[in-house]
Amino acid sequence: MFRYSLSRILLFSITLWLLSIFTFALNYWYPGDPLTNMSGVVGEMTTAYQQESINRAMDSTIFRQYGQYIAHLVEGNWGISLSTQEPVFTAMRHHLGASLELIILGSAVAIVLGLPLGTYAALRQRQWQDKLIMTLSLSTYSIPVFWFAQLAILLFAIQLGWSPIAGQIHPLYAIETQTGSILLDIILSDVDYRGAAFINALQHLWLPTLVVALIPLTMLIRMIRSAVLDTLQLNHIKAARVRGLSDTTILFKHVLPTAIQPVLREAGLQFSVLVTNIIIVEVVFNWPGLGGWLVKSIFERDYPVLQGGLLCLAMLILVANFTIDLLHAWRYPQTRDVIDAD
Amino acid sequence: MRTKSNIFYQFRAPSPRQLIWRQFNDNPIVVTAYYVLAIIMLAMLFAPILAPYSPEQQFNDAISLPPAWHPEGEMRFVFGTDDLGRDILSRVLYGARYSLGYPLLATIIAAVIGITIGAWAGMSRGVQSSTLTHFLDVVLSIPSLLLALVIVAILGPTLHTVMIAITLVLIPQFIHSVHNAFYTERSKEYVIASKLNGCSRNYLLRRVIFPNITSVVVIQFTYALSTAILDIAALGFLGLGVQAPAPEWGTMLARSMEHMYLSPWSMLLPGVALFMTVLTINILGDSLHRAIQQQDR
Amino acid sequence: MSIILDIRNLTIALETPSGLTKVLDGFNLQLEEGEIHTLVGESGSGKTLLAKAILGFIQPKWRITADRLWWRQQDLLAMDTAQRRLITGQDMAMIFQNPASYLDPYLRIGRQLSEVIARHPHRWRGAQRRRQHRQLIVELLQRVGIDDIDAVCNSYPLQLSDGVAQKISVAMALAHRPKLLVADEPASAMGQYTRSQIYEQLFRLNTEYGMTMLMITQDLTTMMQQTQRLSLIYSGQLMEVGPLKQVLTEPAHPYTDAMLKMSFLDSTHPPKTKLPTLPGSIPTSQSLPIGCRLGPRCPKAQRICVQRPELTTVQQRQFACHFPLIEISPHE
Repeated sequence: MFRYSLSRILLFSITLWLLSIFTFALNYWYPGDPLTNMSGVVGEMTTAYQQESINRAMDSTIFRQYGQYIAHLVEGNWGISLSTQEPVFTAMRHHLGASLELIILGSAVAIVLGLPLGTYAALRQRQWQDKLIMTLSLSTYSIPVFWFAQLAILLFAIQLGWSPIAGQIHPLYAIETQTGSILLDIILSDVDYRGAAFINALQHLWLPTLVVALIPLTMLIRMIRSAVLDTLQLNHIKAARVRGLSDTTILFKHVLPTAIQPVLREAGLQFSVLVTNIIIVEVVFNWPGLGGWLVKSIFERDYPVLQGGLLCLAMLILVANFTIDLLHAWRYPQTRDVIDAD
Repeated sequence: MRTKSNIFYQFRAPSPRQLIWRQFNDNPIVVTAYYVLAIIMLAMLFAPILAPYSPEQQFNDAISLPPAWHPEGEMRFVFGTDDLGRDILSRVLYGARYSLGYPLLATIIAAVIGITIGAWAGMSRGVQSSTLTHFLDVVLSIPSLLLALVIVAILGPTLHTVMIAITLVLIPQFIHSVHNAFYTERSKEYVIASKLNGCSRNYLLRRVIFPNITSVVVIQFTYALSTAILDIAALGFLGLGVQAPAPEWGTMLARSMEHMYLSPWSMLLPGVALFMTVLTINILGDSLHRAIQQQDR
Repeated sequence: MSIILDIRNLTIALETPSGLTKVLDGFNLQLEEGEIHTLVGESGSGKTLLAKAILGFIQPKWRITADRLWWRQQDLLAMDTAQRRLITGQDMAMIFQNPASYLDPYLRIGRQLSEVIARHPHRWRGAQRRRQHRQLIVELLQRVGIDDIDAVCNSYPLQLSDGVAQKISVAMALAHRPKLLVADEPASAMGQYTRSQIYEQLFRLNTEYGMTMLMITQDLTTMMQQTQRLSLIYSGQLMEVGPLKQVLTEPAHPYTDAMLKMSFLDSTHPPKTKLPTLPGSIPTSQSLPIGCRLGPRCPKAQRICVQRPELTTVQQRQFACHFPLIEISPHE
């Protein structure tokens, strides 16, 4: 496990390095002045610009420029936004919190519903329950998430009025942003209407969470179902039956642990699908997360923000993949050698 | 000694292609999906004949008209009109070019490039191959929409850049799946046998291995196509794709979003069209996948 | 001796795209308590299917009918799944062809063994339970000839060689002292040395506990010394049953005769001549002959062979042939 972790960490650092080169190169590819794109300092003649130019070694070789770029990134100096003049790094932390809240809740809903539903469908293979679950999941899997979000708003927010249309919380509840995650912020805040604010936040939260969870949920159902079906065909499960174990014991002690393995291996891919949906859902629900922030920055040609959002989202995905890899190797030790061999 | 075996009725096992076809025909849903997709394709090709109006024609007397079955609707606009008085049905018919035709084109280009590189990489060994694998793993872990967004940010939102972005984003997926398929296929006994027979590398690639990975390619193609459709529509929806007034389905949905209170029906037809297209492609890809899996058992 | 497993006229039909195929056709088998019975048949003759039917590995596409499928006077076919699994779990065990695939790939061997042992008749609690389990595992593994017990217990099935994995499945089968052990070509993929080791352990179970055994094999030569009775199956039909010596020295069925001549047991065969074989090849499951399925290939076949021959009993032997190679006294 130690050797494996080491090789994964090495790979992870190489990946981060490639990512940093990519974002560094982007600054030169975007329209406009590279230094402005990097730091958000405008106006060629101003002293601030001159100062920044010296700081980032713009007169020197490209390698020194890259070195300075990395140094600034590590320090947390990600430049300032061209449109709001806010430091990108602090803004990013708040947006990250809001996004993570959706991501974590969404995946939790997907896992909590997907695991039992997928298993149930597999156990009822070719019966009507299975067919119903599979038809539903195949059709929801094909719904474009922005259309689904619109339909959900139309039904739940406009027709039924169960939920507000957009936003994180009603602006009248003045909750100070600390982490970006609205539920955490309410708990951390010391206002006396915390209970009411919490309920209001939940009202805002449940619909986007469901929309975000939907597609990972349907994919999870399909993956779990086929993994369980494959596992049920395996010899050791049949052998366990012959040994007289009950179906429940076999399901929980042998089938599910084996079936989770391929699903866990694909979980990284699911995560990137989740992030794609997050970007769109945040725009539709006007959620102050990374995705909405990123899309807005493209409209406003706010390149420091775009770079911050991109770096943050990409790193989020890479970290998630890295964690999933380690988790997979730790839980299923015999797959380590196979992965090493590749 | 003469063998008597020839007096038996010789059972001929159906060929893989026949088996897949049989499986296809057995399932009514798949057959339906097949026909629905064919109809959508035809509608796309013959949009100028089928559409009652031009997609950009504005009727000032019929702004935000509900569909025909609504009491306020009019028969000349079956699915109603949008906020500028344009016929939604005509726009959706013409929009199929942007939302199905262009993704199809992008997928074909990406497939050709991706399969070539993937096959080359699949036949190479050592550092070359493993560097590529790891690099692809990284690229693939970044969502295609995010990459497309970055490319659009560099080049600016026009039809051409969206096409370039989507094609570029799809290529790694093809390389990855073809490379993996080659990699597993390459060490199988039948390939080794052909190698021992002295087949050239080129012959191995084209005649020996490639026919055996067609299924992988076809499945990847359907998958890539549905990704391309959704991504182009998503870019359009975010306002970073094909620009108005082009009747792209995602752009139409974004516009309908602004008028959700007043004319909720305007999001009906583009959404349904998008949904049906992706659904039929997914059903076909899914059943193909299942048919091939069944064969392997 | 009492009959422990009684199978009469067992038919297994598979649903295939081209209709029902009887892969096992009117099969009979009586196992006496404590005997070692060998079932010989070529690949595809339905041996493994029979074993699976006995143990209740039943796939939804199988249609099983039988006049009798009795385990110690209990009708197995009349039971529901849970009841049947209880009986199979207590009284039967099976050893398979490729043992590693019958072990859970994601659990260490030690845990899998203790899962089996947990169903051992003794019931312990708490810490004592763990200690006793540990001791039982050690005992079991020593018995099947594994010395490096800690290393084996801590490894995953993929890390073991086939020989060791098969020894472990023998140990698992042994753990709850079943009455019947079905061994389906337990050593076919292994070298001669490992093979003999495994057979030796299996036969020791028989002598020590009086465990009844049904050995399934492809070729006549492997397990000959220990077997008491022999059944030959061809293409899903029972050809001949009888005590080993008699069947080998004086085959009653043309199929047995041909099998013996093809094998190297027959030393009378003159050197440098053609090895006698049956003409043709095994029929595929889509084109099974009617009547006696050996018919088209049988050297003694005549027109009547398109009707299924009855199973004839002569003293301890049974065979299904219209033209047996041994004399049947008329009063029999």
